[in-house]
Amino acid sequence: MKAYNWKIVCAACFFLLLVGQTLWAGEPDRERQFQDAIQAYGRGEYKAASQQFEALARDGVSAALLFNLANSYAQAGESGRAILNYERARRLAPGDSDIKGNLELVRKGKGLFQEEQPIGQRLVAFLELNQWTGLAVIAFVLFGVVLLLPLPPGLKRAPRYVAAAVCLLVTATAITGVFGQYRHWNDGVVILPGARLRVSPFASAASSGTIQEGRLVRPGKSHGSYFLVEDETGRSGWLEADAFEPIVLMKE
Amino acid sequence: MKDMRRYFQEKRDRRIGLVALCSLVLFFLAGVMPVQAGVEVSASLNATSIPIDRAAALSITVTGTRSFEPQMPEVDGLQFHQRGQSTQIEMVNGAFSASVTSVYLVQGLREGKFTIPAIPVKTQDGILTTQPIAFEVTAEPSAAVVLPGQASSSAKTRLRSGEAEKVAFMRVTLAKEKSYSGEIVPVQIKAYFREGIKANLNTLPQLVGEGYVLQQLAPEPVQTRETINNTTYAVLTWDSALSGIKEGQHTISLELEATLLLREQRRRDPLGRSMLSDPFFGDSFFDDFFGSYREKEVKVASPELDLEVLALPQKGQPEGFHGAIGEFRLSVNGDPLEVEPGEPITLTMAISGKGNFDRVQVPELSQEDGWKAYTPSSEFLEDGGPGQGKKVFEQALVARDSHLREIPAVTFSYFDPTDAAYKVLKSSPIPFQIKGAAVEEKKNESVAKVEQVEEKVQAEMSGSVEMPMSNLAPLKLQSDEMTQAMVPLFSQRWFQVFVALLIVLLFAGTVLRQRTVHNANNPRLQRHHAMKHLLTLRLKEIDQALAADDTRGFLVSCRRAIQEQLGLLWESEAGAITLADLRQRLPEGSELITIFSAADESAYSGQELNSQQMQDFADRLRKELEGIL
Repeated sequence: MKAYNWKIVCAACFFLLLVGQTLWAGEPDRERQFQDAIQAYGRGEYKAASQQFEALARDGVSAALLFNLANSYAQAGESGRAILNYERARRLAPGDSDIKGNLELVRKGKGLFQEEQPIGQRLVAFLELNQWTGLAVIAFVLFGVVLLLPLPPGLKRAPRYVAAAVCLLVTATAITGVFGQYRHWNDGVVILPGARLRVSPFASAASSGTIQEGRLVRPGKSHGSYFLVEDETGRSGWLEADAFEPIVLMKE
Repeated sequence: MKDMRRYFQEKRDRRIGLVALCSLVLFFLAGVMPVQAGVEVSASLNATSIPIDRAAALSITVTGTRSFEPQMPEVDGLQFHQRGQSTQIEMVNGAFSASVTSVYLVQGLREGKFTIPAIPVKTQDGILTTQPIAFEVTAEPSAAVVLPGQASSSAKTRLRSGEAEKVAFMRVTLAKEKSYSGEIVPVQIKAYFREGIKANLNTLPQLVGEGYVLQQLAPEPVQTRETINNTTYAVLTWDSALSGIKEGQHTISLELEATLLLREQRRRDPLGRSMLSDPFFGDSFFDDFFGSYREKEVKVASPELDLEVLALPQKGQPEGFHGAIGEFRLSVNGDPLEVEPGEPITLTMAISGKGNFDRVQVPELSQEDGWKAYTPSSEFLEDGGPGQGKKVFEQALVARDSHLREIPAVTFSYFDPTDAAYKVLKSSPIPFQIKGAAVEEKKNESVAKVEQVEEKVQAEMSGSVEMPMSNLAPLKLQSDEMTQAMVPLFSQRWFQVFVALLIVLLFAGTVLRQRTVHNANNPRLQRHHAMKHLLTLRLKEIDQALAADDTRGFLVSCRRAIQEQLGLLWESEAGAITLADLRQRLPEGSELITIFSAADESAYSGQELNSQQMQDFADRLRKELEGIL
């Protein structure tokens, strides 16, 4: 009986040691894998690098990780997945010029030119969703401060009201920007080359044309394994779910 | 009364302010709401069966937009001729909807069953397609065919030139009588109406006859006056163009339908004199006023014209000829001419002159190797009349080969009807530069072997022949903070709490500010605060004097406290309040009079108080003054 108890204690200790070691070693392991992937990229093994970055991304993502993953895909010639991950990285770090620059390069390289947009859409695209949100809050706070702070002696009321109106206008513009950008929050990116838009959600349906790899699409209603999508040039049709991936990563 | 008026004035101002604020909010909301007008496209043919020598009208209608560009297909055995576009804008329940219809004539070149395939239509919202249309081209004339411009049988009076010059007639001036199939021949159509006759046009001039199509006419012609044989006419002029679609001799004419308002003569008396025949009543004003009018529908037709459509010569037809006939010039430029590797160059090709611009296709690159050419866009800018203007093509080109140094020449072929010969316009190549290409070249030479090996390895690993991109920003060496999901900032809990706090703070601040403003405008409240503040100060002094057993200081503070409180209460100068004022205004036996009197006596006689008396005075004073508050 004593020997039996002893065995249980030993097994428990071993288990705790194993779990502890795994937990303790988790972070350095991740860092090591990250550096390994960078080295693979440096050796020109882009496919291997993308696989390693992809494995890391399963446990959580960061702007840097997604950027590196996108670069690996871009170098491996998978422009759709490259654009997808640049777009994801941009959502996490909207102000990063490297992400923006590489995304534009890959898009240009694949001839994914955006058509001339109306001035309203260009204004909305000037900032990302979170940047518009931040601007709205800052302008709103300033509006409150301008209205509520006591006037310094000798200062007339008119400048205060003008400043408050400007803050309110900026707030309203920023809220418009938030709405405008949120319309694109759930966009997806075509990741398969030669994907076809169909006139109805069936494999046997007539094709209304191919949709280029890397094109941004806005999914609408779905039927079976097909989504009704509209691409950035305004073309719409039914696209198989496997042909595109949403930019936004959801919690599983 | 004044206060009431001011109150209502302020209330009205506030209401106006509220309305203005609501309007502002609605304005912004309107801006925020996405404008989604559904764009729909449809096509219809006005006949299901047409004889071989006739044409049917194909209408392509796009609703929800004001401009579109159909990409007409090429169907063996059919020819499409553009007739023009019309725009319609409707407002239903405050919502505007626009539709544009483009009309094409479809001519069958041989018998058989045809299907016009789905036509891609480029709109501002993307490319939409029409549904396919099936129809038949028969050998015999079909009763169901409705030809545009074909005269319908009616009892209308036909006024042909030479028959009724006194009322209305038409004249057609054609630049030439022989033209090539597809050539644009300028035509001037003039409709003459005798001055004094009121006329309403029911139709625009329409072509009667076969073998030609007439370009769409302007709905509002140029109006002038002309005198012919001492008769003045109001003249309506349309400048348009005819285009031959069927080779051979043809007789055509033009006609339009109009309603003439003819004045009937006034009734005359049995003696043959007008009832109003004296000089005064004979004035034209009375003619207009008393005379009656009757309407008469007429068809005004031009003299018949005998024309000939010639076939284009087969000999010498250059490769890449798409049917452009006229006199054209070509200009080409590229921008930018110094590019990053992979950066596109926009090649702008403008074809100007006069001719059938609907057949003018994008000029072709003489050399496409090493280039990736994207689908060009085109725009026609009319300038100088029918068939005259400029068609501008913009095409994106990406150099795939870093050794390229010039954009290749482009060629454009057309048939010149004046010289009766085909001509080919060819631009000269445009030099350009790829940034960093010279440096890379040297590198290529020096490391050619190494690069070959690397390429081989990569090809084995990925099976891809794509070249790596050399100009990407390098990898990030540090992985920053990890996240599991992407959530918009405004959906994050901490942000929502933060914004809620801000709103609460703003609300609290507004309330506080309102209160401060309210207090500042209430003198009674201000006085109350001042009295309370001063009383606290004096009671503190009294307590200090009490603790120090300083009778003089104690009584001075008591006296000052009474003066300050009563001064604020009576709205008079505190220092000027005397014992006499107290006796006059306070009830007899008031504790304040006793204390004030004792303070006065002490000041003049130097009378001292013991601690017990001082404490007693302090208690009574506190009670009295707090009672006043």
